[in-house]
Amino acid sequence: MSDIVEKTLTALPGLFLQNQSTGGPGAAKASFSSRLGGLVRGITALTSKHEEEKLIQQELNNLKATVSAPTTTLKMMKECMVRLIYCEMLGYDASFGYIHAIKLAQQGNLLEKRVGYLAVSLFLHENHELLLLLVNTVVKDLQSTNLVEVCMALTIVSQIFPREMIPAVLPLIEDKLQHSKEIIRRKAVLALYKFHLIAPNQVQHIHIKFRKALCDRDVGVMAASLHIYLKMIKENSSAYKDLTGSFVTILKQVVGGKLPVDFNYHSVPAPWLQIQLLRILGLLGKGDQRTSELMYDVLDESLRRAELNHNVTYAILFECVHTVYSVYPKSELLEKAAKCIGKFVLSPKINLKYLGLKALTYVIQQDPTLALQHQMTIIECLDHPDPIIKRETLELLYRITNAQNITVIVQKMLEYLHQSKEEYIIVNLVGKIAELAEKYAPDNAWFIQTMNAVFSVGGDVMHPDIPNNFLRLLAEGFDDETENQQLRLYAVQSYLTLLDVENVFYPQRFLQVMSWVLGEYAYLLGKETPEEVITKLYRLLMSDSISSETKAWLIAAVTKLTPQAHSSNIVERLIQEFTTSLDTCLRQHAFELKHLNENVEFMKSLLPVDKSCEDMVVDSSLSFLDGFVAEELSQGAAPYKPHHQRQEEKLSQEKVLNFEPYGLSFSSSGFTGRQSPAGISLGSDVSGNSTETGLKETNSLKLEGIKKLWGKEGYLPKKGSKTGDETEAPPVPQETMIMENVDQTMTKKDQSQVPTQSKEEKEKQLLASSLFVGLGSESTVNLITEQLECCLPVIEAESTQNFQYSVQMEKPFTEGNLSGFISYQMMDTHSVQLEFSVNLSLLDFIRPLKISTEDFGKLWLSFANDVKQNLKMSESQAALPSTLKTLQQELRLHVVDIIGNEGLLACQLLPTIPCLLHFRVHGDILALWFRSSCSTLPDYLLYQCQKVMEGS
Amino acid sequence: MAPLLRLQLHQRAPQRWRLRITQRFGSLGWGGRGGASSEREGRRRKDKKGRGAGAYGGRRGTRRAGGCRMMRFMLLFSRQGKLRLQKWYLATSDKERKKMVRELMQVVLARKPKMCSFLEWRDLKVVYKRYASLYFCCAIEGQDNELITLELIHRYVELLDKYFGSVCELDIIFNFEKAYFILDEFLMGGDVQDTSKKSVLKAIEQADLLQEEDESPRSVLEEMGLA
Repeated sequence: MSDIVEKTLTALPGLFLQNQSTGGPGAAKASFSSRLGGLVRGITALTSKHEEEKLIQQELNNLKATVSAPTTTLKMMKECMVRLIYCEMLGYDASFGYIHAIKLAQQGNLLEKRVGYLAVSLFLHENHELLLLLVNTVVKDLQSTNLVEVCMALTIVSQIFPREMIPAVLPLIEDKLQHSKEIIRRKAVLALYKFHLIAPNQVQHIHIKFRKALCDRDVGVMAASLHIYLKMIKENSSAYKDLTGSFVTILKQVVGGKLPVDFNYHSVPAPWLQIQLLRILGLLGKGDQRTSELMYDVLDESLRRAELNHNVTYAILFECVHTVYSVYPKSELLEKAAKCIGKFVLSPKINLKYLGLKALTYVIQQDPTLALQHQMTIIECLDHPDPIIKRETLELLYRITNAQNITVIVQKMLEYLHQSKEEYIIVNLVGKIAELAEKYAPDNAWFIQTMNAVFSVGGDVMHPDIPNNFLRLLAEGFDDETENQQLRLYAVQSYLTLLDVENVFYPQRFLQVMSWVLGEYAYLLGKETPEEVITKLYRLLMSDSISSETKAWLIAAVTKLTPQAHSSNIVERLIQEFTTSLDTCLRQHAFELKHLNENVEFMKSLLPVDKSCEDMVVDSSLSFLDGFVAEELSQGAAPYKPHHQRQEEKLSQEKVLNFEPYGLSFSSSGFTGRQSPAGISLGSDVSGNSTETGLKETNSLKLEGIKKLWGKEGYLPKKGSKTGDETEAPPVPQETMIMENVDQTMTKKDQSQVPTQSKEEKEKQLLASSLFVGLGSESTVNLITEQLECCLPVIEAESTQNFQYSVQMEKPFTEGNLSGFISYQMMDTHSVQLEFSVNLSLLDFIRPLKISTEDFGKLWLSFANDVKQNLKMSESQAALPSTLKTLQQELRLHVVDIIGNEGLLACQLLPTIPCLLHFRVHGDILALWFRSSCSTLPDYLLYQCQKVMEGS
Repeated sequence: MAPLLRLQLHQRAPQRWRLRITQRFGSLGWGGRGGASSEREGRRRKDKKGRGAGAYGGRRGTRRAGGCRMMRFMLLFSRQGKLRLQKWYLATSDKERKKMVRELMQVVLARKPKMCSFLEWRDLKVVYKRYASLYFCCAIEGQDNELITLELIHRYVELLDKYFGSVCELDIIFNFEKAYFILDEFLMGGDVQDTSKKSVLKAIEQADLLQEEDESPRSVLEEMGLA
């Protein structure tokens, strides 16, 4: 704090005393602000930050005691609030006072209320939880007969109001649109505008009233409604084209000076209103000739009228130029607008110059000749002492860059970049330079050097796309291969030179780029150099300034170079160094390198030269292990079962199988046995002996049909498998006793893969390992005699075939059974039939439905079928949590929300029939209320519900 | 006797006229420290914090909610870097506010007098203007009209001036809640609510009248220093 102000402030008390005796206006000030004044003076008298902290802390403690004391009057409270605001402005925490601010707004008389509302608007932000406590006060004040109170309420509503409480005040505010006082109407419109910003769908229904506001006889109300229109037109201009005429008329009147003189600002009529209207017109006329034609006249007049040499007329001119260039072009107007831009650009006033550049930037793409006209000014601006002007000029140049001028422009940008220290600027400019360099680079050397500059300056703050794109460009190259090689070679050489410079630190990202390029393309240098490059990389690796991420890149580069190098002393040193590294990632890399290094041939094939763009074929199914697996199986080993299968078997000892349709593949209406792989993870585990077979049939289940979804071949012949005579390992319904005759079996695996969406989903699988010649499967459903028969092609010996079916529930049922058989024929012509049967229950088809409370509410209203029932619960379950748990676990319902002793749950019957449950726990009564779009589903679910509640 | 704490209101560039300031602080030893001293001080500060320059925001960057809100925030601070008034039109966390205020003050205070009134700062445009020892500073979005924002600041100063009767920084320090009331009447949720000077003041006076009635027998005119 400067000593001047300090002196003054310490002298103030004297002054106030002085003035008090004479009774001047200062006396009023003194008495009014004495407490606050004391605080302010106290603070300014201090010399150190520490003392200030102490004083304010003390003040806050006093305030805390005062505001919470019951004897504190509202008047005192108001005074305290002012001091609290002051403390908070200085950066101290005054959160204990928030609640009192709300109380003051609620209880105080008008004046105290005003301070209370002010404090609330300054302390809280619109998502603050305490704000809910204010809603009642606001509602009360909105209904008040006192204008001032209504105004205050509207003001606070338009500043901070919790979005979810809008419905509480909305009707009241709508009423205010018809209020007789214009100030109230105006504020109401602005409050609605605010609502439109934060929750547009809540105010949709009052659009018609907005139109009325637009036609209001009071200018202020009309002007306020323009905010809403600007917003709405921004979102969807086509819906408001019909209003163009009205806006034009209004603007004409404003420009023509028809408004009350009150609205003049420095003798310019309502500038804010004009600007608002010009913006709206610009949006409406964009790319629309007919609409644009309506406004040419008024735009022309605006350009003409704005002659006064004052900032505010320039502001209007600027907006007008913007609009002229936004709407459908008219040459005459464009000419005038261009002249205006000239006025801006050539102005000696720096603010206008800035706006001129901004306007040029905007119009330059439409009219590049304008840039030529002003080229000298632009050049001057490039060396302007004010960095802001420079920056705007660069922005302009960025727009007019082409292959011819790129070097100069990028040069200028880099110069600016080297001077700036602010992150936002660096990130932004670096991105632009990289973009231009990629687009227009004149030659390789320039490109690489520019990118080097970009990487050195942009370093670790730039957008990660930049280095990625650069590397991709290098790797993928252009059409011309020699050109590509030259570019790469140049990059390699330039990086080696950079690395030779002593005592320079490059950003990590740059080093990563370097190490990748060197690793991939150092071979271009010729035979002798890999060792040298490795040495350099090694030196970098040992440096302290390198992050471990970069080290990983460096090791990767070394790994790529190792097969090309003749001697590997350094590599060995590196391995030694890093196999004991504390960083596990680096250690792993080092170990990989170590092992690869032991097998040079293999390493060469693994790390081929210049193949970074080609995909490597990897046998992710580990099929090379199949032989081994088959061998083991033939020796009587237990077949592999994946984890989830094992778990399920444990869980469902009773049920043999539980078939569930795909969560999402609903296109087919039917499902029978779904067969899915024993091991999705190990795609090649042979021998689907882990077989569980099953198809299903039901009593009430309506199996509309069984349809084959897909089948897949997935087995590789057993090595050393012999025996021409084929035996089959028939699919066994229950479990794995099949292994006995496996010896001569061609083990076939019937594997079907679940479209992988369903880790959590409980899946039942059928793994029929056998040699199928044909499969006929028939579902004998009691009601449906529909037979599904499908013939499978002849399967070769020693091959595997997958089949998959899905069952879908058409109409809800409680329990059902699905059965069928598979018949197949061996080569030696006798046919075999395998039967299977599966029990299904409704719950197998129920899945949680994850929706939000809001969606729940919407759905709830849209469903017509509902069922209500009260259940009596036993003592032990008569609590919400336990009930909830039961419902959630047993019935697979999703808990949407819990409100007090009520709960909202949702589920769906696969594929897409939703069902909602609302329940309330009341003593030992559980009131259930189901609703669904399906008429019978609620009944069935209720039944299930009863069952689980009894059972638990 | 040049009053230092005067918010100089420039009307038009050539004929800048000053609104008369009351004499109450005239005798306080402000004399003799005219523009020259403030210049000197400004430069010293500059030397100390020369680094501050060059920090102007980029255009890209995280855009928060909203889109056509006119203003993000308004700050008033003294040349010494003391915050005098802050109004945030977009929910911002306390920590973030403090950080932004600190950074922005540093940037603005480091600007030289003849420089452009607009700044690119973070992803925002900052429009500022200095009146005597007070900086008025508004943050708007990139596509907004800077010049009209500058005029908006000016209109606010005019309103303050009219209300306090030749306003000075001390008026704002000691009656900052009044300054807030005026601002709320002028800008609502960051948008210009009423540009008519008369009606803004009328609304404020209406509320003030009540105050006079139940607090003290003084008249509004007295309160405004016009009596």
